[in-house]
Amino acid sequence: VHRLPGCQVACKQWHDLPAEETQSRGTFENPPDLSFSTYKLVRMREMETDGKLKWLFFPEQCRHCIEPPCLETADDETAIYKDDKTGAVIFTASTKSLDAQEIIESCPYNIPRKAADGTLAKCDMCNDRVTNGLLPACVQTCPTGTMNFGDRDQMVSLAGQRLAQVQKKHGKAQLVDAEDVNVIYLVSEAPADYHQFVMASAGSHGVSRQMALRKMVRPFARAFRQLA
Amino acid sequence: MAARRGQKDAANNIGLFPEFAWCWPVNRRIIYNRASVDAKGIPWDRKDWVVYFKGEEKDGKYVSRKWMGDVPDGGWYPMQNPDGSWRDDTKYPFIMRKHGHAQIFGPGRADGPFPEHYEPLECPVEKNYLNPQMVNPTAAVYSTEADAHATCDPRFPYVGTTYRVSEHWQTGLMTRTQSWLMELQPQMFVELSEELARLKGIRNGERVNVKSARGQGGVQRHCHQTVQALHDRRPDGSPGGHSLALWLAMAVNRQGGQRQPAHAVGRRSQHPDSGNQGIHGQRG
Repeated sequence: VHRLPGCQVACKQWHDLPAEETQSRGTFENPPDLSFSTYKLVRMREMETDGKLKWLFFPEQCRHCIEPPCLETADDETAIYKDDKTGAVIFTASTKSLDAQEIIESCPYNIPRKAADGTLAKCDMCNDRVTNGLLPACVQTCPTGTMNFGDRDQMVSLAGQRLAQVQKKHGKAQLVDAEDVNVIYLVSEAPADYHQFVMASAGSHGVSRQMALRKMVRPFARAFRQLA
Repeated sequence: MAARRGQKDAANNIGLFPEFAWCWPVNRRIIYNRASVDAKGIPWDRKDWVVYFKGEEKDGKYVSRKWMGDVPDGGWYPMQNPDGSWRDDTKYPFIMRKHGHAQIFGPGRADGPFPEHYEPLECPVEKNYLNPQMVNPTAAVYSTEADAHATCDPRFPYVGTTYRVSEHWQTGLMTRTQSWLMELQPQMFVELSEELARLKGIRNGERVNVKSARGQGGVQRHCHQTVQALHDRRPDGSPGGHSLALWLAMAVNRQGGQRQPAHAVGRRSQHPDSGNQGIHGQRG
């Protein structure tokens, strides 16, 4: 049966991430969740509509938000920063000093995962590959052309074209949170049918009131920290 | 020679690329290529020709041998001279066949072999309705315990088939030690229909026993609903997996935690639930 998540394995290979000890769980989806050593995971859901079985695949990963709530929440460029050239949102080893729970909860897509020592990790958009002219490992290995990578304008236009095609057959098709993220998913069914966190919950994008406040007091907070 | 990367195509651009790597033998790209010319060495397809005889001609006879294009499969003269006379210093183009001709039927046969249907060695029907020969007469049977099989046996009422998973190569012997692949597909599993699962009271992800006339296959899991897809509702319309012609009549039972009967054979020495111990890939 052809359902090998090659992107998931390519990701582990490029980042040299260890395999997890898994169990067969009555599904082909494994490991069971993202983790400190699993940045990308293909979710597989069986869905029956009108007597027809559909298999929904969702390669879950960081969306590299245009205004990343994790970055705002961390407010520490040594721990979480954005590469302005590529748009990649990068977690460094300094995430260890952050409040991990706070960062995880700030993510509208429930992506960051914590190591035992509190360090956070997630997809880095293969920024090292990209800055050296290579495609991200998952995109490179994808045999079906499902994943595409390039400049935002091109990708947005490609997504729009593809959406128009898919909508002819699947009326419910949509691009998920396309305005807010740099990893745009095209879904043909309701996002929640794929996985709980496909779409950001309403209002969780953009700069929230809380974050705006934080931004305002940031200089003072910094000064306080330096004093302390 | 294999490192050659010449991008030049054959003389008439038919995509042969004779300078790209090398073909066994003698860098000939198309076997029996002289069959693509008529008896006088002129290509049947004048536009996309593979080989073309361009020997010198004198008084209606060919007097020198020269082939254009691919390396000819045997560089003999064409069968005929330009004047239509047959030559006796040449050979028919299918040089590795007894008479030099192509053949539709197997050697030494008036016709055939033709496709045939046999029932599997172990199957749910008593009779082969297409053919008096029940099972494949060439299937090896060694008359040992391992050959035990049960056809139309009420003790084994279900038909199972094996298939390959893309996470592991063949039986998994070579890939089971690859931790990234083990992570994806760590254990043996069985798939059964929701109907059968309901009938046997088996929940998804539960451990089950699979028994055949030859033994019982440890403790396995099942993943229901998907098997419906394997029958006729696979989303992409393809037939179910890479089914092999290995069928087994089997009994599927919920494993209730009690010890297995002492006569049960084939129980794995290692429990499949003991994690990534590297011996429980899928049977291919």
